[in-house]
Amino acid sequence: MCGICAVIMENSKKDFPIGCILFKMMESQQIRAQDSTGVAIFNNGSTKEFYKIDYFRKNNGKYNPVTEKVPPERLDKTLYELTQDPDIVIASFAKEMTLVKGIGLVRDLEAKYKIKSMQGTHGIGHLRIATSSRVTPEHAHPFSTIVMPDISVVHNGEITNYSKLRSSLELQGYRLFTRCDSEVIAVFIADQLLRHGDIEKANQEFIKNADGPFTYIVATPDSLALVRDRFGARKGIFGYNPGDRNYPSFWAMATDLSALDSVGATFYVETPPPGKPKIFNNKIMIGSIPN
Amino acid sequence: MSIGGRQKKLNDADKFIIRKAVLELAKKGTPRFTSIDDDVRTLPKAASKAINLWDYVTAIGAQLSRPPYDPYRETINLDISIGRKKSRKVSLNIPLIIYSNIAINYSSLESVHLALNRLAEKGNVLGLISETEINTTKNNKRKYPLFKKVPSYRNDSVEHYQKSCPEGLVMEYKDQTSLRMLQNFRKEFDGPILVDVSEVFPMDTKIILEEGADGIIVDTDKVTKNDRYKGKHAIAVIYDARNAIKDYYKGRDENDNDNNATLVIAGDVNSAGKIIKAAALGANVIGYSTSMLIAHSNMYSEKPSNVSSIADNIYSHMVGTKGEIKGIPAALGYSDFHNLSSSDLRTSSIDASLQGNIPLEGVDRTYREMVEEIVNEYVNEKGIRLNSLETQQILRFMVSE
Repeated sequence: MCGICAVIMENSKKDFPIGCILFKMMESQQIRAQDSTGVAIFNNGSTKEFYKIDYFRKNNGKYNPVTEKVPPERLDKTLYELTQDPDIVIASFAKEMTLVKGIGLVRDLEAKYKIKSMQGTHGIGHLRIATSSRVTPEHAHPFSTIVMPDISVVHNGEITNYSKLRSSLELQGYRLFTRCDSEVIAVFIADQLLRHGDIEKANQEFIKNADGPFTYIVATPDSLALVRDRFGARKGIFGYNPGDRNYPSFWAMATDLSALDSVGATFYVETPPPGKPKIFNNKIMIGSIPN
Repeated sequence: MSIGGRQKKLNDADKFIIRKAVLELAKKGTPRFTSIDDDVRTLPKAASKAINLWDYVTAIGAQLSRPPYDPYRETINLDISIGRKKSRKVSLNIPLIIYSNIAINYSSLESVHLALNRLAEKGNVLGLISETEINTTKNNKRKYPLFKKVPSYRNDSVEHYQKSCPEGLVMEYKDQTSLRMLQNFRKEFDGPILVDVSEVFPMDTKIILEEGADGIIVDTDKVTKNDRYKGKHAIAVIYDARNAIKDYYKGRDENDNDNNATLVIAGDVNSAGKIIKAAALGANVIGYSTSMLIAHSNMYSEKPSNVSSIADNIYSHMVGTKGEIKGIPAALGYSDFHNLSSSDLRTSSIDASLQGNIPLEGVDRTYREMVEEIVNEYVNEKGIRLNSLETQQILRFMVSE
């Protein structure tokens, strides 16, 4: 019953506060899930010279969020040290992505991080109701990975063969930090991107290997992919808002139609065919339906 | 046995006692001085052996967030291919290989052959492991993959085994001689070679896979008779066998796409329930023993037995088994049989949890994980500093391994 949503501005427009679009879509789907929330927003073309690592440090059962800015030359050492500490759970590894998440409703997230004012080219949001792992900040979505920066995933459903996928990724030497099945998607996609760099192929591979009912959205620095399992057991829709003189055009995707309604993305509303990833990138022409 | 005019079915203990009494009488030529009841009282070992851990393992069904698939509408995949990167692949539609674990008469083998042919015609391809050749006529050609058994005591060349055009070979591994044989056969034979490691398990699995074996066969009945597995159950053998294959792949080049070594589990796995549990513990293919297959197929048969009627029964039994092994993963929320894992199982037995690393019912954690948590809490509370080796030693002591 989780709720997922995403927005991508047409023509890489990045000075618009897309956080407010995500906030509206999340609020309209809040009825689906109330345990935890999170967003990841991308600012395409950012020239930041350092990496940002967000992590939770467990201390007497409490989770303290910490952010570390790391220059490239110290990256390997820092990641190694962080992964050696059993009390640290890495939540985000980014260069241009801002990922925030926590327990509570979307309005709590707004109060804490001011997500409505966050600007960017595209972003994803999630509302979680826990079915298979604990309700803690580390288990909130979006999920990121240390395999490569700027990958984030929001997911609705269940990857039933999660244990098998996880153990095969661990066998390859990848580190996973939580017991949530959604983290496996992020690591799997990152692994695939390292192999061939093709986001569509990466998602097709995931569909081939994963079992169970799921819909997820994966965000990379230049794309969003809306993916449904091969039987289409979980819903996922997208729609287009053509914008006007004061409002830029964008594509939005969500679990519920109400979310698209709430932001006016009511043109070309469609659902991706089961098992066929729908890829959106920043180069979409106005009014066109992406391939 | 007839009691009061009614037939009573003998259980294993009854049979054992009667057989023992008859053997004693035959050997000594004198009647027994003790009653059969005394034998029953002195049977604690037999009784404890009768505790079958399979019965303490259940599968967790689909839930709200993980609905079951409908095996009639949605395809539940059972297909598997045997053969690693460099070998020719052999595909099965049902992950079962009929495994001649004991010598059976020719007519029984003929029945198996007929049944497997009929199954293959209907798109249900299973494999057969056999040492004996089946004479096939023009109308009765083999339509299923044959894995020709290479006995360890024979010293024939690979050409000898290729006469019957088998799709694969099965070699018995005993010692260095078997290893040399494997090396030679690997050079000459391009199909999959499975190696039966039951005699030496868990030793040498890595070497066998390094020498090019496409998979290993582990007979749980044989292995649990080894000293190393005394008192342990088939569950422990399957779990260890899967880990042995994982260990082989650990740290290998992830890009060589060779992750397909097959684990065939034979022996104690002879019903759909056990097939599912064995697959969840790590088996890729089940070696279904010929003797058990024929026994199961004829259990309720009222027809007079002949080659054709036994073949009919085997056919029906396998179709039924296929339905069950499709239906159970679907009920667990899987569209692929091979996606089952031990996290789908729960057990009420500490023994089963320890031997197969299966989560305990109610707590969803393995017994080992629970003990580990208690040890960690205690160590933290007391401010004791332990390295990982010391922690493992304490854990082993706590779980009496």
